[in-house]
Amino acid sequence: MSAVADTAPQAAAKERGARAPWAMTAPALMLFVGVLLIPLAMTVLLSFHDWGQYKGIEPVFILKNWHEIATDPYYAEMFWRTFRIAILTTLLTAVLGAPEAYILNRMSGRWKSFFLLVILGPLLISVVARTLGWALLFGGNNGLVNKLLMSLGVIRAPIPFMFTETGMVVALAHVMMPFMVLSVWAALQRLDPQIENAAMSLGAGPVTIVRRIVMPQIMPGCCRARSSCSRCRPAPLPRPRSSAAAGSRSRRRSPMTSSSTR
Amino acid sequence: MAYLELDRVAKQFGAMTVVDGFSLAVGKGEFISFLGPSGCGKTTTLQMIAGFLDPTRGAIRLEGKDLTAIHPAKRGLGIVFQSYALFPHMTAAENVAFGLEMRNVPRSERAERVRTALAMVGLAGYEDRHPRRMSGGQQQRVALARALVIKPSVLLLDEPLSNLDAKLREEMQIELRQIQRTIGTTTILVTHDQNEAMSLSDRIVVMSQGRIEQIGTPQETYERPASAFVSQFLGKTNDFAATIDRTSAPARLTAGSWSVPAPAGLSGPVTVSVRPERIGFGDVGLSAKIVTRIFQGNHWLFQCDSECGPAIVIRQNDGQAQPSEGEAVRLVWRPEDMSVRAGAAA
Repeated sequence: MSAVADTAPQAAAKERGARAPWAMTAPALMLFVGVLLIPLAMTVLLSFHDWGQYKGIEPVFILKNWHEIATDPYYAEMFWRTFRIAILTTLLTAVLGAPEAYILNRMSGRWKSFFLLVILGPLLISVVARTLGWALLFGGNNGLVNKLLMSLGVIRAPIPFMFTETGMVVALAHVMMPFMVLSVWAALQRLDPQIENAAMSLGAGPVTIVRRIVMPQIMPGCCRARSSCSRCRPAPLPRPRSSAAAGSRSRRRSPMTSSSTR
Repeated sequence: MAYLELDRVAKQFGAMTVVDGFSLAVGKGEFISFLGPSGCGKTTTLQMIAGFLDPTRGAIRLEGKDLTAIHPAKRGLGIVFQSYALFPHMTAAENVAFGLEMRNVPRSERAERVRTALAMVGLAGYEDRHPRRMSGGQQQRVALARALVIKPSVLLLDEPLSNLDAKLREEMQIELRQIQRTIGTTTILVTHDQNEAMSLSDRIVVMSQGRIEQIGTPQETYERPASAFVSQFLGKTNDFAATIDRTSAPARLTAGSWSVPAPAGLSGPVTVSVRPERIGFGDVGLSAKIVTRIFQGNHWLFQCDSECGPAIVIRQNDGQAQPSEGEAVRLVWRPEDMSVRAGAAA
C-alpha cells in the first residue's frame, strides 16, 4: 500500500525532471523559431508565388520558380560556385586553423592570451577596413603579396588575386579563421590532459597520437566551425568578375533569390 | 638484483625541489605503494618512471638497463591514470586493443587477448560499449584491462580508485589485489589513502615533502613508525610529551603522573606515541577526563583531555560498560604498544 503511494510522487518528480531541459531551452528555442524558422518557412511559401516587374507578388500557387532553378544553368553555376568556395574556404581554414589551435593549446599562460588576441584581431576590425587591407595586399600587379612573392623569386609574373576566386578563398579563410581556431581550441580543452600520455604509454608515436587520438576528438569542433563559417555566408555568390553580366540577369531573378540578397 | 631500481632520483622545477634523494629497490612481482599527502612528490616520481618527466639527478633502472634513456612509448609500462584517460571515441574493446595494435599484434590474436583481458576485469560482454556509456567503476576496469593487456613489465597506478565511491573502492581494492596476485605483475600504486596503501601493498613508501620518510611493510610502518610524520599520517595516533630520567637508577620514563621503567638508549625530553586502539581504561596510568563519547557501531570513540594534552581512545564494542562523558579515567597501555622517539611532541 505504502509502496504504491510512494511511487506516485516519484513518477511526478521524474516527469518534472524530464521536462526541465525543455523548459530551460524554451526561450532560446522560441527566438530560433521566430527569427529563423518562420522567415525560412515564409520564403518557401513565397517561392510558390508569381512575380512580375509591374504586377509585383501575386499570391498564386505555381511551380515556375522551382522549375527555373532546376533547369536554368545560371543557377546551377551559381550554386556550384557557392559550394566550391565554401568547401575550399573550409578546407583552407581547417588545414591552417586546426594546427594553429593545437599549438595555441600547448602554449603557456601569457603567450596563449597574447596569441589568442592576435587570432581574434580580425573580428575586432570593421569589415570595411579589413576588405581595404586585403585590397592593398592583393591590389593589381603592385600588391604587397605579389611584390613579395616576386622579390623572393617564387613567381615571375604577378598572380591576379583581386576579383578572382583564389583571392576570395584566401580572404574568406582569413575572416573565418577565428571561428575555426576557437571551436577547435574549445574541443582541445575538453580533452583529458592525460590522454596523450595514455596513448604514448601504450606505444603510440607523436603522429599516431594526433591522427588516432586527438583528431577524432576535435572533429566535432571542426564541424561546428564549418557550420558557423557557412552561416556567415548564406547569400549565393554570383561570379565575381562579370558583375555587370550578373546585374543584367538579375531582372530575371525569382522572388526567392532577390529577397535573400536584399 | 632488484627488478626496478631508483637510485637517488631527484626532480627540480626551477628552484623548487619536488623529489630528492629517492632510492628504492623493487623486487619482481612486488606491490609497492607511494603514500603521502598531495604535493609530496609521489606522482612526480611515478611520472619519472613512466617517462613523462625526466629526473634532474639520479638513475632509474629496469632489470639493470637505464630506463631514462628509453622513450616513454618504448618502455612497455602499463599505466592507469586517475582520470582513466580512456579514448572516448573508441569502444571498450578498441581501447584495450590500442596497445596491441601499436605492437602490431595480428588481428586474430588481438581479438582473443582483448576478450581475455576484459573478462579478467569482469567486463565480458561490454566490448562494444563506449566509455561515456559506462559507470566510473566500469571505466576504471577498462583502463586496467588496457594497461594489462600489453603484458607490461611494470604496472603504474596513479590514484586509480580516488574517483570511486567508498563501497566500490573497497570492492576494486580486493579485485585489484587478486588480479595482481594472479598475473604477478610488478605494481606501483600512488595514493594518499592510507587504508588503500595498507590493504593492497607488500611494502609502503611513505613520502613527505619530496623525501622518503619510511619504507616498510604495512604492519611495520603502522606499528613502528620511523618519524612523527609517519605515525600521524598512517592512522590516528596520540603523542604525549615525556621525559627520561637517567640520573637515578633504574632510569624511568615519566609523563605526568604516569611512569614506567625507561627503554634503553634515549634520555631527556621524548615523545611517546600510542595508537588509540591500544589504550585502555584502568586504575593506574595517565589521568584524563572524557570530553566526548561517540558510538560508531562496532567501536566507541572517546575524546579525552589528559594531563599531557588531548588524547583519542578507541574501544571495541564488546558489550562491556564504557565510561560516560565527564568521567575521570586513567589511560593505560602495554609498554610494547608505545613507540618512543627523541624530541618533544609537536
